[in-house]
This record gives sequence, structure tokens and C-alpha cells, in this order.
Amino acid sequence: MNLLEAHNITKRYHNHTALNNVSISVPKGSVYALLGPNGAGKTSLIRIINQITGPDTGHVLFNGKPLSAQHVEEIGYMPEERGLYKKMKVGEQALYLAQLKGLSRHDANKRLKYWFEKLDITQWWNKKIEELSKGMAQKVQFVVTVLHEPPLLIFDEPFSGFDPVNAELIKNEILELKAKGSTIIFSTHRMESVEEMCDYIALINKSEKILDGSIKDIRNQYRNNLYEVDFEGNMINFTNALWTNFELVNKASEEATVHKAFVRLLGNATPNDLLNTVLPVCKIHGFKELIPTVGEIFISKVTGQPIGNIITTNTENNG
Amino acid sequence: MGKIGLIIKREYITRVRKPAFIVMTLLGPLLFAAITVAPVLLSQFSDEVKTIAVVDTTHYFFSALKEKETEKIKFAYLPHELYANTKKNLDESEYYGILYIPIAANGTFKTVENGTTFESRKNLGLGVQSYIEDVLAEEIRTQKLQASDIDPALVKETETRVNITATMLDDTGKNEEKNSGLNTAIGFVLGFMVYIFTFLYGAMVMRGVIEEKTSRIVEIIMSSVKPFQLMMGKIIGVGLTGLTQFLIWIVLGTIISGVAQSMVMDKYAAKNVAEQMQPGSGKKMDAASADAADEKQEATNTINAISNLPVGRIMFAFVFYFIAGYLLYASFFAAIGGAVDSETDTQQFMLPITLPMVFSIVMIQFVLNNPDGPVAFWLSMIPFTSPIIMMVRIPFDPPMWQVALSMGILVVSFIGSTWLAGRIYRTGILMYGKKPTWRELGKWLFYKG
Repeated sequence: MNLLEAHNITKRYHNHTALNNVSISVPKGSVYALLGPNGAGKTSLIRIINQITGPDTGHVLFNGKPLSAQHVEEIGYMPEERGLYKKMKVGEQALYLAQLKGLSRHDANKRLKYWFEKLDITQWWNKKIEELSKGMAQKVQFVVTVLHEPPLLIFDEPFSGFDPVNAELIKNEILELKAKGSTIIFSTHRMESVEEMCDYIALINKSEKILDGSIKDIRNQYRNNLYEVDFEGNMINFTNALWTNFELVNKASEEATVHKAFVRLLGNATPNDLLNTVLPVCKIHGFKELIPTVGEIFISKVTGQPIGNIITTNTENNG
Repeated sequence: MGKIGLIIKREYITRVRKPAFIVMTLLGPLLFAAITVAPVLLSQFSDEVKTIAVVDTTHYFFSALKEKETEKIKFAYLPHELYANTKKNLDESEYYGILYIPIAANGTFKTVENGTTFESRKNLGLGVQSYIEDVLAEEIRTQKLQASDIDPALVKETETRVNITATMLDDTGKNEEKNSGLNTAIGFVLGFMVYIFTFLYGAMVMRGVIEEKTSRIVEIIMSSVKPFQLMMGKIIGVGLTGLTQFLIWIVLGTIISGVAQSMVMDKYAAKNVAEQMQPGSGKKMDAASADAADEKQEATNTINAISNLPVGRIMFAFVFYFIAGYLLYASFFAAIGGAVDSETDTQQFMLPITLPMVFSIVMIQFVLNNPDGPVAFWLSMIPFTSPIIMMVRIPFDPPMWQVALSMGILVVSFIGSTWLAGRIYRTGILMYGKKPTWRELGKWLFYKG
């Protein structure tokens, strides 16, 4: 069951197309990541889902019904460009924004107390936003976004501007919200967080969606029988042993006798065959399949480089 | 409470609680009173008594001057022999200055008229100068009349003053007393208040929009409410702030002017009594009482005119144009705020808005000269000038159908302008980084939501 479906969304501004026939489906209870380079159209899509702007063509379904004004209360949105009234007091401001999302003053007050204690920011209640640091203001912003407990939460670059400690805190809060049943859409450049947190991704580049699906499926789809072998022995003997059924894609040497080789299986060869082939000529230190990370798929898709090259160079650089 | 209500409440409360607002609201009437009252008070307190030495070689004028002495200006006789010496040591003497009246030759006063001099270390005030000139001229006139065997009292009696009572026939044929001076004053003040209110609070709306845009909160709010709701909420909230301020000003102003009036009246009454107690010539008494009668007549006229003013109609029209004019312009101010990134970028868009307003102010004088002429008519129909110009005309009782038409046009216009401005606003507030041109603003009108 999809909580949100966007069908064939196109949005044009007078000198460029922000979105071209983009469709996404966000399953209920999932964490869905929108990936793409700057200017790809992610924020445009998010704004359409939030009804801040409307699409030129296409439509959005929320819980199977066309998106309408009443749905604003079922969505929580934290924009990339964080913003609060600088001269307004934190508590007052949070109350105001919560009421705009349809909460009663009483409920808003109660929930704010809970969240302020949870994030340890109670003492800021009567401070003005301009007196807070950027990271502090972001915490307030996060609370404001989730306060009305909407079924759908949208975070545009949720981790930008947070220090590592607070980024971790927010990440855990997001996962907790997911565990409670919320559906979460976020856009980010932080690929590690994508792997850790997401169930589904959509990759948008140059106004078009070029890839989407569950993270597991996509990674499987992009594995291409690449294995990394760390060994001690003679590189030439090793290379000669791979005479048939295998291709040595790349290699790296740490010392005279310690090497790293990236090998692709050809034909029907299995990882066991590879091991059997090289065991006689060297001493194995490590052996693993190289499944491409989302980040690698992202770069490959955006730059057009073959995925194998990106994986092997990345791994090489990481040592 | 609806979302628009929440927005109005926030806009209103955050503004009304600002120290600047409270200070301005309380001090505004005091400042205004200070500006009007201060010169009067200053002139009463600061002036010392000036004693002027008079060298009257003709011996005609000193008694006349002495007779017209006031509390602030005294005259002392100075024999001609002492003139040169006193002039040399003026600083040490008790005299403020020396009035030198040259000898009259051949029975005419030509030399007095043109040869009289006043010498002092400090500048002789214009008021004092004309006062002395008047006394001398009056005395010369009397002398001349007497020389021609004409009784000055007779001449005094022939002086006439005509007061026309202008009345307008209303539909029932009843006469209504009018005072066009009063109408002019009321029209001008009300028109000007509409102007100030629109400008002051329109600009406040614009700054509020820019603040929301630069602080980037607008995107969060947009995810909860429609741009139009945010814009209208802000316009109404700021408008209520302005109305509150004006209401407090009017109440405080009434109290202050009431207090000031009673103070002035007390003084005035005391002065009258003092004048009547003074033993003076019968002639003078007559003149004084005649003057007093004139003043009394004029006061009665004014009071009559005030009570005959269509106060209810003026109040209604004022509140209407006050609000409708503000709404018309505030939506444009909001659109400008939405289109730009900072207040410095607003200049190029401000001009077309300020122009019709400034034009209206310039035209007030013209309209007052002929409140029912074609210029007045057309300017009170055009919605950009009508809030000010029609307000100026209202005390002159323009035809009912004109007022109704003008109000109708204004209402339609502000609905239209709000709609247009809303379209520019909702596109502008989400655009950052570049300063839009007029052409782009035009294109924004046709964007799909």
C-alpha cells in the first residue's frame, strides 16, 4: 500500500523544466530517499507534494485520494533552507506553527513540553531564535516539523547544518518515528545515511527520474560479479592463474608481496571457482564480493562512468 | 479559529507588543501637542521686558507710544541731548534699543515716515517692528485728519467689516450654515491621515513580507497555508495594528487638546477681565468691546458650522476610505515585498505606488479650490487617488451618487489588486537570488498555482 503516489509530474518555469514526467510511489511505513545532484528537481518535487506549488501536469495521490488542502495537516515538512521568525520567542513560535498545522493550542503546548524535554531544550522556551546558534535553531525546527505527528514526514537535507552528534540524534529520532509507523521522505547528499536508513530510493537527475526501487533490489541489480581478493604472494603467478573464466579488472600493491586484486567472474564461474583457482598460488588474506553502494550507483548514473570502475577506484582509495 | 485568524493574531500581537509601537503610540499625541503648543509657551516664558528709549524730536509720538505699551515692550523718553552718549554706551544702559524719530518738517510727516530709525545691539523682532510702525502710522493718520479738520472718531465709525454667511440649501429647502474654512481644514486633515496611514502601514506590510522571505520561514508556512491566506492575514493584522494606534491617538489627542483648551480658555478669560478693568479712554473700550463682539460672532459661526457638519457621514466615509485605501495599497506593498530579496531592492517597484499618492497630496489644494469641479470628480473616481481626494471632498457634501460610485470602484479595485498582487506574491516569495524585472513580474501573473 502506497501512502503517496506522484504520477507523471511535470513542472516548468519560464526558462527551464524543473521536473519532466516524474512518478514516484512511497510505500506506507518506509523511509524513502530522493537523491540527485543540486538543481535536479528534488526540491521542486517536494514543494509539489507539500502543495506549496502545483504541477503543470500530473497529479499526486495521498492515501489513494487526490492531494487537497486538508492534507497539509497530515504532512510535516522541514525545508532545506531552515527558517524561523528571528525575533519571536521559541515556545511562542512553535505554538504558532503547530496551530497552523491544525493542532489546538492545548495539545500543541503539551506535545511541545514533551519534545523540548526529549531533546533537552526546555530552557530555550523564552529565548528568541536570533539568540540561538544555528544547530540549536535546527533542533527547534525539527520539533516544529514532527509535532503534529503527521503520517508523512518530509525532510529536505535533514542533516545539513548539524554537527555529527546532533546529526546522529536526529537520525535516531527519524528512525524512531519510522518505528512508530510514520512514512518518511527525505532528500540528502549523505550517502552513508541513505544506506543505513532507507528502504527505497529514487534518483533524479536533470529533471528526470532515472532510477527507483527498494535499496536491496537496486544494489542487487547493479552487482556485477566483482570480487576483491587480498593476498600475499606473487602478483604474476596470481594473474597467470586467472587465465580462463576470470578477468582482472584492477590491482593494487601495498607492499612487495601484499596485493589487492579486483576480479570479475565470467561465464558460469562461481566465487568458489575463483577461490579454488587462486588458492594454490597465494595465501589469501581476504575475500569479498563488491556490491555497489548507493553512492557509487548514484555517481555512475549521473556521470555515466561504468559502475565497475567507480567501485574499484573507490575501494582502492579507501585502502 | 481559522488559519487566517491565527495569522492575523500573530501579526497583530507581535507588533502591538513591540516597545517601539508602545512608545510611538503613547508619545505620538504628546509630540504633536508639543510641536503645536511649544512655540506659544516659549514666546510667553522666554521674553524679557524690552525697554526702548524714544528720542522724539517732534514731541507728537511719545505719548501715543506710551499709551500702547504692552507687558513686554516699554517706552522711555530720552532727551535729544543724551542721544549720542546713550548710543555710545548702549550696552551698559538699561535700554534694548533707541528709536529715533526725526523732526517733522513743514507740517508734514514725510521725514517721520521714512527717516525713523531704530538702533540696537540685537536684532529687532519683526513683530516689534511692525508694532511700532503701526502705532506711528496711526498717530500720523490722526494728526493728518486733525490737520484737515476731520474728526478721527467719525472716520473710525465709517470703517466697516462685512461677514458673509454662506449657506447651502439642502433637499428639504432648509438653510444649512457652511464654513468653507472649516471644511477645508477638516478635508485636508482627513485626506492627509489616509495618506499617512496607507504609507506607514503599507510599508510595514512590505517589511513583514521581506522579513519572512529572508528568514526563509515562508516555506514552512506555505506548507500549512495558502500564500493568499498568509498575505491577507498579514495585511489585516497590520491594518488592525494601525487602527489601534490611530484609535489610541484620537483618544489621547482629545484628552490632551481638552486639557490644553481649558488652560488657554482660562488665560483668555483672565485677559479679558484685566482689559475691562483697565481705566482707559471710552473710545478704547468701545473698540475693544467691538472686537470682542466680532470674535464672539465668529466663534458662534464656527460652532454652528461644526454642529451642521454631517459628522456621521464624515466619520463613516473616513473609516471606509481609511480602510479601503490601505487595503488597496497594502496588497501592492505585499507583492513588492514578495518579489524582492531585501529592502534596498524595493526602490524601482516603489515609484509607481508612491506616485499616485504623492500626486493626490499635491492635488488637494486644487480640489479644495473647486470641490465639485471635473478634476475633483475624476480624481475621486480613480481608485489610486480616490481615498485621499474623496476624503478631502466629503466635508463639502458631494452628491451621494458620486460617493457611492467612488466607494464601489474602490472596493472592486482592491479586490482586483489583491488578486493580482496575490499572484505575484505567491511566486515571488519562493524565488531567491535574483532581482526580478517588470517583465518577469508580468509573467508571474500567469503562472499556474
